Amino acid sequence: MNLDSTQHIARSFDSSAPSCFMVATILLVEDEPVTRTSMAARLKRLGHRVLEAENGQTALEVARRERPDLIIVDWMMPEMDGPTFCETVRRDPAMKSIYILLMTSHDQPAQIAEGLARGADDFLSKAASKQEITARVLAGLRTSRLVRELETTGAQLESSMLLLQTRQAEMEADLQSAAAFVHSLLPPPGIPAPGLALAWEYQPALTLGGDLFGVAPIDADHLGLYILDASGHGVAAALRSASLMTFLRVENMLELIGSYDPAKVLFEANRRFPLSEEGEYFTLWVGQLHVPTGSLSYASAGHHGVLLSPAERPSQWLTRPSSPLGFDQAAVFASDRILLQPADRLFLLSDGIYEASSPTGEPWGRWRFQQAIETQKRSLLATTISHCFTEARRWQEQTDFLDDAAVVGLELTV
Amino acid sequence: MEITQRAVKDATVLDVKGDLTYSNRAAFKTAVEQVKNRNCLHLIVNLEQVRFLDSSGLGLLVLMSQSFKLQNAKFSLLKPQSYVREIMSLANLPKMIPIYETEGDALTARAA
Amino acid sequence: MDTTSVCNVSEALSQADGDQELLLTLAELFLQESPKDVAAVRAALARQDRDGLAAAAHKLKGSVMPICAPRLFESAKRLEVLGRQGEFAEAASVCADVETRLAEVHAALRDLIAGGFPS
Repeated sequence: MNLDSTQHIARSFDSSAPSCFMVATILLVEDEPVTRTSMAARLKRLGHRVLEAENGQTALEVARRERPDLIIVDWMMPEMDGPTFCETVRRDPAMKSIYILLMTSHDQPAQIAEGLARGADDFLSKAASKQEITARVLAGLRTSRLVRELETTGAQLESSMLLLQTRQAEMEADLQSAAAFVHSLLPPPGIPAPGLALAWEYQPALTLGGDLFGVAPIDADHLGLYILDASGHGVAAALRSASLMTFLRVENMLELIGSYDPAKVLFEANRRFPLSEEGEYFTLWVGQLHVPTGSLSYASAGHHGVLLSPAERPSQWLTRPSSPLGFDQAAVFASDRILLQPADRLFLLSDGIYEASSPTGEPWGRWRFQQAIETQKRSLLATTISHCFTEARRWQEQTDFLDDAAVVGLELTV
Repeated sequence: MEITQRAVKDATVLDVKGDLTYSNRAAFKTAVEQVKNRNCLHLIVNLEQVRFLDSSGLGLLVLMSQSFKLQNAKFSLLKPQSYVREIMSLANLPKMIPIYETEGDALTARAA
Repeated sequence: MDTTSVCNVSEALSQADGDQELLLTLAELFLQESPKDVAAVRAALARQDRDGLAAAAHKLKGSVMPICAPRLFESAKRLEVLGRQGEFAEAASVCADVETRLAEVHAALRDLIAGGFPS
């Protein structure tokens, strides 16, 4: 939108500007020659350019072609009278806002009402004095100028609006593209390694989600896992997340530190991803699973969304106090190790799912999540996860989550 | 959220009342930066009346503490409520930002 | 007869914003057009055409205004009203008045064109 032209229009319209300097094109429609000649001469004397027409039909053609600033039309004319002429003009989009003075030799209120109703803007008596003609014509020209400027502004606003809508649609399409790309980087569900099942469900709050996760083989026996949670909102946060996700790629890490040792991965990430200017940060959990033995080593930078659900024991959160990325440049991250047994399940989740609030403001909570997992222990992994989402949605009484909701499930198959 | 400032011996205290969240972040940041720009040597943020802290609020506290450190000034927290304390604890905040139970303690503590 | 009631030249000149040449042009135009207008009135009367009579009388009346011929104006005005009302009998007699008065106005205008404006 060209803001300058809008401001210019606001400045240039000044209703107090001296109108006697306005030279206008006036169309005079009158069938009677003597009156027409007289009125035309008087209007020309006021300095205006006058076009004459003998009847309504000719006048319409002239008006369309010349776009006069003002039309003065006689009431009584053969074939098309003044009011009919007014109606016809008002129906034409190209001319509908031209100022029309209806000439009358009467002054009856009923006639005036009819004239106004049928499209006249004001009246001019045939016997009007020079002063009266001047006054009515100038008033009409002022209004005409105002209307024209409003129309121009209106047209500009409309085209700006269309432009904005187009741009918005383009941006939304771009976001969809970006989201599709980022989401194509998420691990495909199924069997990432022999003896392991993977299922996940992900619903970002906006088109582009800021909470992301990865499951990828490090080598023939090892699998790298991570889940990250961005604290900010919007596209900027999502972009930063995508950047961290790229950093966490197995190939990248192998090149950088030669392994996917969770504590070392966090150490490197912590150095490279400081707080943003607004104090935004990531929480990150990284794990490395040795599939043949089920040995899982892991480390966390402030991420508390990892739940171990053993086949024969109650579930437990794998959590310890730890600083998110960027909080403490000197942080050293501790590494923990557990042994997964066949049929054990590990869940990585972003907080959007357990922070889902009921209409009264109560979060669904970690405990209810655990219950949902427990009750579905015997179902397929994907079914269990699906059940969690259903329960969370039922709890918050709506489908969409306010914060990114992700649940990744891994199961050591027997 | 309301923030009031008061001067004590060798420090400035910001008393925060309400929630430290995403929607209030600008106000909190401005208040702290005002104090920092006056080359305050020690800022104590009193969290006694803060009911709720979200990730935005947590991040801001850390950001502000980091910027005070860069200026060789002290940044301390005072009397967090239990919910807020738990959030900060899970994020290992006490390791980075000193948290005190009384103003006296905050003022007499030696520099980290 | 008071000439101003036939044709009030100073009033007409004032309406023409003092432009003598314009008034002379209008006078000549009137001399040219008014016989046609009267013929139209006569024809409408003969056909007993109400709308036609009213329109023709209205047109004539209009053309008289810039000339400032009060008596002729009144007759034409009356004729228009009678035409609207369909009073053809009375309209016929008013029409005769119109023609008489028109002749007077013609004479006055020809004098003006020939003799110029009173100083």
